[in-house]
Amino acid sequence: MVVNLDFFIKEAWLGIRRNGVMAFIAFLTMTICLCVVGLVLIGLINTNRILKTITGRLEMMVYVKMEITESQTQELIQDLSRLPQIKQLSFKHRNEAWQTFKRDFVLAMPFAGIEDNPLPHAVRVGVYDIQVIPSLAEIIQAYPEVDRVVYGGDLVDRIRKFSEMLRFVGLSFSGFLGVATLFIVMNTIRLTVLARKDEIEIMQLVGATSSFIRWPFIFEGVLMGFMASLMAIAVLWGAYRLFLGKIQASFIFVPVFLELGYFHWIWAVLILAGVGVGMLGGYFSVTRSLN
Amino acid sequence: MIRLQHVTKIFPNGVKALDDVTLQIDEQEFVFVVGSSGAGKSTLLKLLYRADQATGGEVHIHRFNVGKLNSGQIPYLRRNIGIVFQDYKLLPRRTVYENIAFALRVVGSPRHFIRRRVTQVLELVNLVSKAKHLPAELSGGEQQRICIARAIVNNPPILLADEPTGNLDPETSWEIFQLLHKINQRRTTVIVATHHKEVVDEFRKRVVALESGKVVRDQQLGAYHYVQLPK
Ligand SMILES: Nc1ncnc2c1ncn2[C@@H]1O[C@H](COP(=O)(O)OP(=O)(O)O)[C@@H](O)[C@H]1O
Ligand SMILES: [Mg+2]
Repeated sequence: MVVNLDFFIKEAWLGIRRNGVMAFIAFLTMTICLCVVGLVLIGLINTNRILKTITGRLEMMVYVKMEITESQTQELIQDLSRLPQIKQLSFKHRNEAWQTFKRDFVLAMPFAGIEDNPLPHAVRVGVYDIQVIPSLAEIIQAYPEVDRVVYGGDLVDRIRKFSEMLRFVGLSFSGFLGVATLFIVMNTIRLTVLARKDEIEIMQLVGATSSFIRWPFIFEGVLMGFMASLMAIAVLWGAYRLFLGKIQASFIFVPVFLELGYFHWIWAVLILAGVGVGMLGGYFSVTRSLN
Repeated sequence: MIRLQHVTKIFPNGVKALDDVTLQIDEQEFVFVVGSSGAGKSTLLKLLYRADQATGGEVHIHRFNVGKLNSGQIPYLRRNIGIVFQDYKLLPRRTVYENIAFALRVVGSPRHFIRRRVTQVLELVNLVSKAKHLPAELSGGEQQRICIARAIVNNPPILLADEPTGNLDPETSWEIFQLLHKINQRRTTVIVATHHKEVVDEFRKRVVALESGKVVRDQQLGAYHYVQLPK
């Protein structure tokens, strides 16, 4: 096999050159498909990271009713500490909250004249898992001392829904594009196969094995897939650098930027996918001509 | 050794191309298969190199039960058989040298071996000087000699030729038969399907005559037609 490597690669390159336009179309489709896969991966990794970041910061504020005293609130904390979902509970005195509030909004709001503290006591609740927040909020809301529960679950929910949608739509769209690409690649290489019908016939007559006959075509697919994945990587990397500033600006509160390590991983996936699809396309392109 | 036992070939369209053919061909034999057009000569050869399968009977070549081979085994049968075609089947965009080397390359021979061996067979068919030419630049006889060179470059024990001189004038045909004879002398079993009557007469080799798919005559040192016996 090693002896013939240069033979296979030369044949593969000849095949691509001979197919001109078709090979270019296949290359483009493949590049587009790989770009979509890359975008989906970048999107998924980013939303996951955003979720993680928010989850780390996430907590609920439980505001008790105005008439509930500090000791009654402490009793509530005792009760709540029995809930297994809860990681941490801390009491926040209404006076403390009022001080903070006045300090933060002294310029923005005309509170200066209000001396009566309108705020209730509160409990800060930390959780282990973001998933439990909505149901936990309902449970806590049911306590008679509790006035209302406030949490940033809305944003988290939306990001998670987006992430799920991206996973579903993105991956199935990638799969669909992948199959379409496979067909285009297969039919492109099939042109080479047909152009070499005589060679294949003679190869078979002089006793070449089917796998030997397949190699040049598999190489053709691999070459095509490899070039397309490099192109897709160039496009994605360029776009990411270009738009990074804008993306970052609209999500100041979370780190959108991916470290290089993540990109290496995505690039590897793209090259593998490109080479894999090319390989399959090459393999199947000859099947019909072997018998 | 080649053995056909009660071999029948009926095509899907109902044509019976071979009808109960039983035949044995020993190593290093030279056999002419003769018969008019449509008698079943090509079909017989095709069954030998498994381009087609018998519908009845068995074909054995050495240790191969040819009809029972699966597709993965066929290449290994074919490495024992060189095939020469009426239309040469040379690759037009490759040089003479590459056409012959191709047959070795696709069975995975090492490069230094390929170079030596191609030169050897080019010497045998007397066309060393045309090594760098394209097939189209050669005469019909020369192209057929290249086809023969390609068929034997792998040193197969069996050489099949289906109407090798069908497109050639008598003089060139004669040269081709001489070449096949020379190859036979080098211990290769040679089977030639032909209707070139004069040559067959001249060579006085074994003749298997087919008629509508039946072996009607199998004669050592035979001639193309029955010798008319005096009544
Ligand atoms: N692939 C095929 N399908 C149907 N009939 C065929 C096929 N090949 C050959 N035949 C028929 O089988 C018979 C023998 O053909 P062939 O072996 O080519 O004869 P020959 O080589 O002696 O001229 C002929 O009648 C021919 O028409
Ligand atoms: Mg014929």
